Amino acid sequence: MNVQSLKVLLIEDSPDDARLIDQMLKQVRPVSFDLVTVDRLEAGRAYLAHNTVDAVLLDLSLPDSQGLETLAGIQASAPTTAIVVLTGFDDYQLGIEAVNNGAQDCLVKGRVDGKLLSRAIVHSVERARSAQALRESESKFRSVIEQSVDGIVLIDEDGIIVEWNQAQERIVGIARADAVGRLIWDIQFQVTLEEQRTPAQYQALKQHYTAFLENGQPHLHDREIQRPTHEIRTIQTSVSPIRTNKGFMASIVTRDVTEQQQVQLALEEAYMFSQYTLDALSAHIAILDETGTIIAVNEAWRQFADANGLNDPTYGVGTNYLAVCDNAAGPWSEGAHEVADGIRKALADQDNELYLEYACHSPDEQRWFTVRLNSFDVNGVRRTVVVHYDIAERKLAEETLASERNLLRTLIDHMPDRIYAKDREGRFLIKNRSDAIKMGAATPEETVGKTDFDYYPPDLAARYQADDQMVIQSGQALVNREEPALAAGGSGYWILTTKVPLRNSQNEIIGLVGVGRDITERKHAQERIDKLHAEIDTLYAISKQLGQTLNLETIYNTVHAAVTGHMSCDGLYISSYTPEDRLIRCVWAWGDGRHLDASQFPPIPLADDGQGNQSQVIRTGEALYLPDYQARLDAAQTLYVVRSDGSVTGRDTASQEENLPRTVLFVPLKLENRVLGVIQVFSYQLDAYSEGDRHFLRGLAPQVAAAVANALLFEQTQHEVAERERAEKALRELNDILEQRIAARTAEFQESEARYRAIVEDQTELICRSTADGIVTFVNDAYCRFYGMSREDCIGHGFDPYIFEEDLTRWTKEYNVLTPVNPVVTIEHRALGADGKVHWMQWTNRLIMDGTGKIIEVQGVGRDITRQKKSEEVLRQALAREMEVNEMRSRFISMASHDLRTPLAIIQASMDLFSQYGDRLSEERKRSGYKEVDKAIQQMVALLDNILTIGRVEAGKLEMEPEPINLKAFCQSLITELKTSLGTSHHLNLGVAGECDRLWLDPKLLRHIITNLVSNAIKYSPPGCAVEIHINCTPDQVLLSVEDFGIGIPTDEQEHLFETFFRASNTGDTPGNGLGLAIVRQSVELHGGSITFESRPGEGTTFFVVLPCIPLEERFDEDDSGR
Amino acid sequence: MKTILVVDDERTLRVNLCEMLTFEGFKVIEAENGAVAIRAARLNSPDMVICDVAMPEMDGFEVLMRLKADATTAALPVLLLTAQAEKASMQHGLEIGAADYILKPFIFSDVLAKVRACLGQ
Repeated sequence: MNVQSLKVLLIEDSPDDARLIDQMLKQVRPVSFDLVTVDRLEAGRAYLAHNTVDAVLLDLSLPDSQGLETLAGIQASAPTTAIVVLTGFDDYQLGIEAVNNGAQDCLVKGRVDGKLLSRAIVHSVERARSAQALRESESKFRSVIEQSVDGIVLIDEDGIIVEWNQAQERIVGIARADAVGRLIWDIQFQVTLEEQRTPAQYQALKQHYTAFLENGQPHLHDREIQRPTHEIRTIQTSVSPIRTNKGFMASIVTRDVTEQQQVQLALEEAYMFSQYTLDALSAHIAILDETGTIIAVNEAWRQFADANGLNDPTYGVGTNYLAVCDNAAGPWSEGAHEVADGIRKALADQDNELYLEYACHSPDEQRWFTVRLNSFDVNGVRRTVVVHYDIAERKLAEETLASERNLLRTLIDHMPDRIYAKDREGRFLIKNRSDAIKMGAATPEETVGKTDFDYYPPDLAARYQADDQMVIQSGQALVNREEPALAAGGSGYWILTTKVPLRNSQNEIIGLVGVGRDITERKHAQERIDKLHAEIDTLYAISKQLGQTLNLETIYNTVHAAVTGHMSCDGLYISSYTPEDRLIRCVWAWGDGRHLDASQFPPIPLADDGQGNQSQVIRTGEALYLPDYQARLDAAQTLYVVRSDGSVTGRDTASQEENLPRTVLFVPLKLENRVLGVIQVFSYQLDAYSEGDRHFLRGLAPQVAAAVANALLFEQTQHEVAERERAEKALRELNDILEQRIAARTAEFQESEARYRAIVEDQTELICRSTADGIVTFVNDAYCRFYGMSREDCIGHGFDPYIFEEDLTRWTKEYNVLTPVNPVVTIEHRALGADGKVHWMQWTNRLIMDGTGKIIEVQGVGRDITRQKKSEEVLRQALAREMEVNEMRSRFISMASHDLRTPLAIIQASMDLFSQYGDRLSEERKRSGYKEVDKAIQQMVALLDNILTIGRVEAGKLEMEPEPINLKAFCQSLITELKTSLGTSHHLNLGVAGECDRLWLDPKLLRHIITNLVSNAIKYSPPGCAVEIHINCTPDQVLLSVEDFGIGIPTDEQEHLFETFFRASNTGDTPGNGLGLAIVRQSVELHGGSITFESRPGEGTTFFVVLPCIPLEERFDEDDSGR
Repeated sequence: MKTILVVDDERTLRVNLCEMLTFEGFKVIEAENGAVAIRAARLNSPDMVICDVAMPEMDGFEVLMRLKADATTAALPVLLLTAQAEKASMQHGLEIGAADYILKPFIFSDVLAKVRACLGQ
């Protein structure tokens, strides 16, 4: 302390004492005192109020104040100034008290010298200044402690709390007043969590602090406390030692970290959440910092890295991803470069989002990825998330889809059917090549977006549009509609159309799909069949008409109407031939649309062989077709030609005319092998008549012949009746005169009557008349013969025809039509004849009425039309059968071609191999090659054998040549042979019963039977299956059965199984030719045996063969007996 | 060395043909059915295919169409091998993209000539 000068205030009421002190202080060195003296307390206080002094010398006994009061008065005015109390000798005790009350020193007046006084003042000033500094320092520290946000506690060496600041009050919830002076472990136990407040815990706390107070080891810990208000907080406590003479004190700093810890927990949770979320994502994710360095990756990223063998334990964290992308090289590096560019833009905040698809194929896998970038700022720092998605599966699916679509497109394009799809407005969406070309487009693509109106005439397009709309509006498919269509060249054809609504995944109709099949060929075939049917119907109708008339002119007109209605006809002539005079007479003529007078044409004598067209027809009884008649005229000895006006000329003059008959068809009118005449039809066109036309006229001719014969007979009868009437009249006139001749004339009548009856009786038609009440009045012989009844059985009895039940409904319906308004009805039905056979009969029933319209009788005329019916049926069946056989034959040819060419190809290839490369082949290879050739030859031989056998079967040349055989040995050897040659894994089990050693059978046929049945069983059952073959020989017959457990035979096809070339629909790709079972059946039948089978599709088939058989011994016995 | 994929379900014929082609200096891959053939064509990138028409399950025409429908095999020349003598059937083969066809039975020198024509030799 640099004390040069001290300012001192002396308060002393005794002037002597004051002067003495002043003089003492003036003599003191080195310190100089500037002394101010006052004599009253108030004066001192007044001075101090305006001046600062270093020390006050104070006499406690002043006139205005006594004792300690005086001290207090000065202390109030100058609290930090040093005070030295002056007392008298007898007041020293008071001076001690003053020191105890804050005075720095106490001197006894009269006992001090200047030196002592000076030292006392200087020391007091120093003490006062130290105390002041200490007070200021303490105040400062206290302020710090009180201001601290942390709780601060001081404990002394015994563990007693001496300081407890406000923050501590707040944190722990215990007031300073309640804490100071208590043991620290008591207070800590008080705020221990309620459930932990146990004696043991108390001891632990106490021990903890006791130990600390001994060793002074600083420590830090976190713990939870429970405030007296029961609130639980987390606090962090730091305990530090303060060394003292006695040991250690402690300062305990406490911080409430409850919120901080909650925030920390929340932070940790958020971090875990984001990490788990990232790891749970299937995308490969990396997060980059502002330089592009990877700062975090997810699990998918790590797995991808592992899977690619990167062996980087950091998984790229810390690596600069930009550099990785920039350095990428190789075929798929373009994607990486694009990613790098995108990241740079994102980092520069130019473009915060990037989406990119790229290929990144590995050597053994095709891979595609998408990459997506998203940038964001955290506290002003840029972060970028890089997300890679593996889209290989989607890409592969897309590529497969494209490939499938392409395949589908190729298939559709190569379908012969027309296939297309349209939208709701009829615009083409897709179309195959076949359809595009058919409608005149160059390519299917060209048609997309166009409609039918762009390609078809408006009316046709409108019709298609109407169909389309119907399908689209109704949702109903249009299936298999046959309709005429127009091809691009304008030619017409027939098409089978199916249109089906096209729906999207919501099942809404968005258009339609159409399929069109060209059925022109089928249609034409159908037309031909229809025409044939029409022809049969026409012939039938005509035959009916002809059967109902006995008038020649009506017959001819009917013929004319039928012919001109059916075929092109410029002229029609009918001539008759009478063998008695060998003359051909024209009886009916028609040309150029009008009737001609047939009587103008002179009769022609029947010419010699090879001359005259009509003569040739009459001689041979065969039709004659001259497609170029004029050329024929030169060769044939034609006598005259009828011109179109009906006039007759020689043939030389006719040749220049325009309307010349160029095609002529002659057909004989034949009845029971007798030619009655000729129908002649001509046309001005060359080769005008088709096979159908000729067929029609040939079919018509016998009907005409029969009708003409009937009419001629009737005419003759009419003629005779008229003659009789004339005779009767003459008889009556001559009755009187010529009575004697009555008997003779009567005889003549009877003869005539008999002849008439004979004519009726000789009719082949059945005639029956009955009254309106149904009583039979007449039947002819034909009727009686047919039904096997006598005339007496019929006449006078009820007319009660037996009608088959199948025909009864129709018969009743048609018979009831018979009324006076409709007096003629023709009914067909079946009848049982006396011969025991069922005949088809055609009855023409007619009502016979008198002049008043009253029904007298019903007349029925019946014809046997069984043959006609049968021929119609035979015709139909033959047509169907022929089509079926053609189909089977073409299938067979295709199969045989393949089955022969394949072994041939093996043989040829083996030949080439041996001849050209034989020197390079091992002996072993050559041997196997020869075996293969041998096997191929065996295959061909087997097929050829089958074909030859079936050929012999069809020609009826397969014969039975029996010889004695041992059936058991035969079968064993054959089965062994089959197993070897077919190389099969099937188990062939042979069971034999009875005496089979010596039988009389044809081994060749037997071989056909067993080989075919067993090889079929093997072919049509899975490998490894059993095939059971059983033979049972009884004295009369051999029973052979072959059972397999294979695919079986579809039930509805079983009836065709033994037909030549037939193959069941479930045989699929299994090789075969449809001959085997046909041969088997024939072989069985040649033995006089029978074959049957039982089959269930999917379960198996068993064939049963029964061969009648005579054991050898018996056969020889019989031979012996016959000798 | 050119590689030829030979497809025929008839083993003997396929083996003979492969042997002769091997003697002529070709590398040969065999396939006994259509499905195997298509897989082999994709994996082994042969220079051409000789394929039988009449095979069970997938016939030669379908094999051809599938090869043509796949971009990786569409350009392969395909020589069809057939026992079906009908012209129409062969015309169909050519229309759907066969390079040529050979009728069974065949002489190997003819096959060789057509193979070389297909490979542009």
